[in-house]
Amino acid sequence: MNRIGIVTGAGRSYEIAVMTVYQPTEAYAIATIDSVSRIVWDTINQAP
Amino acid sequence: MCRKHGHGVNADDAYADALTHGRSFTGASGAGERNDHVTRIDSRRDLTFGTAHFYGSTGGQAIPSVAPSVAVAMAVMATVSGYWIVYASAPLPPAQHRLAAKIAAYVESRRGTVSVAVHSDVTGYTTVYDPRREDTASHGWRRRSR
Repeated sequence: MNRIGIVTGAGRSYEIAVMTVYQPTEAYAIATIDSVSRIVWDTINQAP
Repeated sequence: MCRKHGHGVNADDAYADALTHGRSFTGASGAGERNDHVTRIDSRRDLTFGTAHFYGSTGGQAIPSVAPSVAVAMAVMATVSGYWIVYASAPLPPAQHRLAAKIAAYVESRRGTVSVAVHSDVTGYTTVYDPRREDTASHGWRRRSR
Protein backbone atom coordinates (compact mmCIF):
# COMPACT_ATOMS: atom_id res chain seq x y z
CA MET A 1 0.00 0.00 0.00
CA ASN A 2 1.26 3.41 -0.93
CA ARG A 3 -0.07 6.75 0.10
CA ILE A 4 0.76 10.33 -0.66
CA GLY A 5 -0.73 13.44 0.79
CA ILE A 6 -0.59 17.18 1.11
CA VAL A 7 -0.88 18.33 4.69
CA THR A 8 -1.33 21.92 5.79
CA GLY A 9 -2.33 23.71 8.94
CA ALA A 10 -1.05 24.83 12.32
CA GLY A 11 2.11 26.24 10.80
CA ARG A 12 2.87 23.11 8.86
CA SER A 13 2.82 22.63 5.14
CA TYR A 14 4.30 19.54 3.62
CA GLU A 15 3.84 16.70 1.20
CA ILE A 16 4.37 13.14 2.28
CA ALA A 17 4.68 9.87 0.43
CA VAL A 18 4.82 6.51 2.12
CA MET A 19 5.36 3.24 0.31
CA THR A 20 4.98 -0.09 2.00
CA VAL A 21 5.62 -3.58 0.76
CA TYR A 22 5.66 -7.01 2.36
CA GLN A 23 3.22 -5.91 5.01
CA PRO A 24 1.46 -8.87 6.65
CA THR A 25 -2.00 -7.42 6.19
CA GLU A 26 -3.68 -4.35 4.78
CA ALA A 27 -4.54 -3.23 8.28
CA TYR A 28 -0.92 -3.53 9.28
CA ALA A 29 0.11 -1.41 6.31
CA ILE A 30 -2.46 1.22 7.21
CA ALA A 31 -1.23 1.28 10.77
CA THR A 32 2.33 1.71 9.56
CA ILE A 33 1.40 4.61 7.33
CA ASP A 34 -0.75 6.21 9.98
CA SER A 35 2.04 6.07 12.51
CA VAL A 36 4.58 7.49 10.12
CA SER A 37 2.18 10.26 9.30
CA ARG A 38 1.69 11.01 12.97
CA ILE A 39 5.42 11.14 13.59
CA VAL A 40 5.88 13.55 10.72
CA TRP A 41 3.05 15.76 11.93
CA ASP A 42 4.40 15.83 15.45
CA THR A 43 7.95 16.54 14.37
CA ILE A 44 8.08 18.54 11.20
CA ASN A 45 8.68 22.26 11.23
CA GLN A 46 9.18 22.40 14.93
CA ALA A 47 11.50 25.08 16.17
CA PRO A 48 15.10 23.90 16.57
CA MET B 1 -17.23 12.50 1.22
CA CYS B 2 -15.97 9.06 0.38
CA ARG B 3 -13.52 7.78 2.89
CA LYS B 4 -12.85 4.60 1.02
CA HIS B 5 -11.56 6.32 -2.08
CA GLY B 6 -10.29 9.45 -0.51
CA HIS B 7 -12.46 12.03 -2.17
CA GLY B 8 -12.19 15.50 -0.79
CA VAL B 9 -10.31 16.60 2.23
CA ASN B 10 -11.13 13.73 4.53
CA ALA B 11 -9.10 11.20 2.62
CA ASP B 12 -7.65 9.10 5.35
CA ASP B 13 -8.68 7.82 8.72
CA ALA B 14 -5.30 8.89 9.99
CA TYR B 15 -6.23 12.47 9.34
CA ALA B 16 -9.70 12.44 10.77
CA ASP B 17 -8.56 14.00 13.98
CA ALA B 18 -6.37 16.40 12.05
CA LEU B 19 -9.44 17.90 10.54
CA THR B 20 -10.77 18.72 13.94
CA HIS B 21 -7.63 20.70 14.59
CA GLY B 22 -7.84 22.85 11.53
CA ARG B 23 -5.61 20.82 9.33
CA SER B 24 -6.45 19.74 5.85
CA PHE B 25 -5.36 16.70 3.95
CA THR B 26 -5.59 15.72 0.34
CA GLY B 27 -4.56 12.17 -0.15
CA ALA B 28 -3.95 9.51 -2.68
CA SER B 29 -2.73 5.98 -2.53
CA GLY B 30 -1.15 3.43 -4.73
CA ALA B 31 -1.83 -0.24 -4.95
CA GLY B 32 -5.26 -1.33 -5.90
CA GLU B 33 -8.48 0.46 -5.49
CA ARG B 34 -7.02 3.62 -4.05
CA ASN B 35 -4.75 4.31 -6.97
CA ASP B 36 -7.23 6.38 -8.85
CA HIS B 37 -6.53 9.71 -7.21
CA VAL B 38 -2.89 10.00 -8.07
CA THR B 39 -3.82 12.04 -11.10
CA ARG B 40 -5.51 14.57 -8.88
CA ILE B 41 -2.30 15.07 -6.99
CA ASP B 42 -0.40 15.27 -10.26
CA SER B 43 -2.57 18.10 -11.38
CA ARG B 44 -1.15 20.37 -8.74
CA ARG B 45 1.30 22.48 -10.62
CA ASP B 46 4.95 22.23 -9.64
CA LEU B 47 4.33 19.26 -7.37
CA THR B 48 6.83 16.63 -8.31
CA PHE B 49 7.29 15.27 -4.83
CA GLY B 50 5.65 11.96 -4.32
CA THR B 51 4.37 11.50 -7.78
CA ALA B 52 7.65 9.99 -8.89
CA HIS B 53 7.06 7.11 -6.54
CA PHE B 54 3.77 6.32 -8.11
CA TYR B 55 4.95 6.52 -11.67
CA GLY B 56 7.64 4.03 -10.86
CA SER B 57 5.79 1.76 -8.53
CA THR B 58 3.23 -0.90 -9.14
CA GLY B 59 1.86 -1.44 -5.72
CA GLY B 60 5.19 -1.96 -4.11
CA GLN B 61 6.82 -4.14 -6.72
CA ALA B 62 10.46 -3.47 -7.35
CA ILE B 63 11.27 -1.03 -10.09
CA PRO B 64 14.49 -0.40 -11.98
CA SER B 65 17.03 1.47 -9.97
CA VAL B 66 17.41 5.13 -10.68
CA ALA B 67 19.74 7.61 -9.13
CA PRO B 68 18.51 10.76 -7.42
CA SER B 69 19.17 13.78 -9.55
CA VAL B 70 20.22 15.90 -6.61
CA ALA B 71 21.09 14.35 -3.32
CA VAL B 72 23.41 14.46 -0.41
CA ALA B 73 23.80 11.14 1.31
CA MET B 74 23.87 11.59 5.03
CA ALA B 75 26.13 8.85 6.27
CA VAL B 76 25.68 9.97 9.84
CA MET B 77 22.08 8.98 9.53
CA ALA B 78 22.70 5.54 8.10
CA THR B 79 20.58 2.93 9.76
CA VAL B 80 20.31 -0.81 9.75
CA SER B 81 17.90 -1.18 6.89
CA GLY B 82 18.02 2.11 5.07
CA TYR B 83 19.51 5.47 4.62
CA TRP B 84 18.41 9.00 4.19
CA ILE B 85 18.80 11.13 1.15
CA VAL B 86 18.28 14.79 1.76
CA TYR B 87 17.69 17.12 -1.10
CA ALA B 88 19.59 19.95 0.39
CA SER B 89 23.04 20.75 1.62
CA ALA B 90 24.34 19.36 4.85
CA PRO B 91 24.19 19.92 7.72
CA LEU B 92 20.56 19.27 8.24
CA PRO B 93 18.59 21.72 10.31
CA PRO B 94 17.83 20.25 13.72
CA ALA B 95 14.16 19.77 12.91
CA GLN B 96 14.92 17.76 9.78
CA HIS B 97 17.45 15.67 11.60
CA ARG B 98 14.95 14.98 14.33
CA LEU B 99 12.32 14.02 11.80
CA ALA B 100 14.62 11.66 9.97
CA ALA B 101 15.74 9.91 13.12
CA LYS B 102 12.24 9.40 14.42
CA ILE B 103 10.92 7.96 11.19
CA ALA B 104 13.90 5.68 10.80
CA ALA B 105 13.51 4.36 14.31
CA TYR B 106 9.85 3.63 13.79
CA VAL B 107 10.17 2.11 10.34
CA GLU B 108 12.83 -0.28 11.52
CA SER B 109 10.46 -1.55 14.17
CA ARG B 110 7.91 -2.56 11.56
CA ARG B 111 7.70 -5.59 9.38
CA GLY B 112 8.10 -5.37 5.64
CA THR B 113 9.69 -2.52 3.79
CA VAL B 114 8.69 1.09 4.16
CA SER B 115 9.84 4.09 2.15
CA VAL B 116 9.00 7.55 3.38
CA ALA B 117 9.49 10.90 1.72
CA VAL B 118 8.56 14.26 3.14
CA HIS B 119 8.84 17.63 1.51
CA SER B 120 8.42 20.63 3.76
CA ASP B 121 7.03 23.71 2.11
CA VAL B 122 8.29 25.72 5.05
CA THR B 123 11.94 24.74 4.91
CA GLY B 124 12.12 23.53 1.31
CA TYR B 125 13.76 20.32 2.38
CA THR B 126 12.83 17.00 0.90
CA THR B 127 13.80 14.08 3.07
CA VAL B 128 13.63 10.51 1.86
CA TYR B 129 13.92 7.32 3.79
CA ASP B 130 14.90 4.80 1.20
CA PRO B 131 15.40 1.20 2.31
CA ARG B 132 17.96 -0.65 0.31
CA ARG B 133 15.64 -3.51 -0.36
CA GLU B 134 13.51 -1.47 -2.69
CA ASP B 135 14.57 0.89 -5.40
CA THR B 136 12.48 3.96 -5.20
CA ALA B 137 11.92 6.35 -8.02
CA SER B 138 13.80 9.32 -6.73
CA HIS B 139 14.87 10.36 -10.17
CA GLY B 140 13.27 13.58 -11.20
CA TRP B 141 12.53 14.79 -7.73
CA ARG B 142 13.68 18.26 -7.18
CA ARG B 143 13.76 20.87 -4.55
CA ARG B 144 11.31 23.59 -5.32
CA SER B 145 12.59 27.00 -6.11
CA ARG B 146 11.56 29.30 -3.36
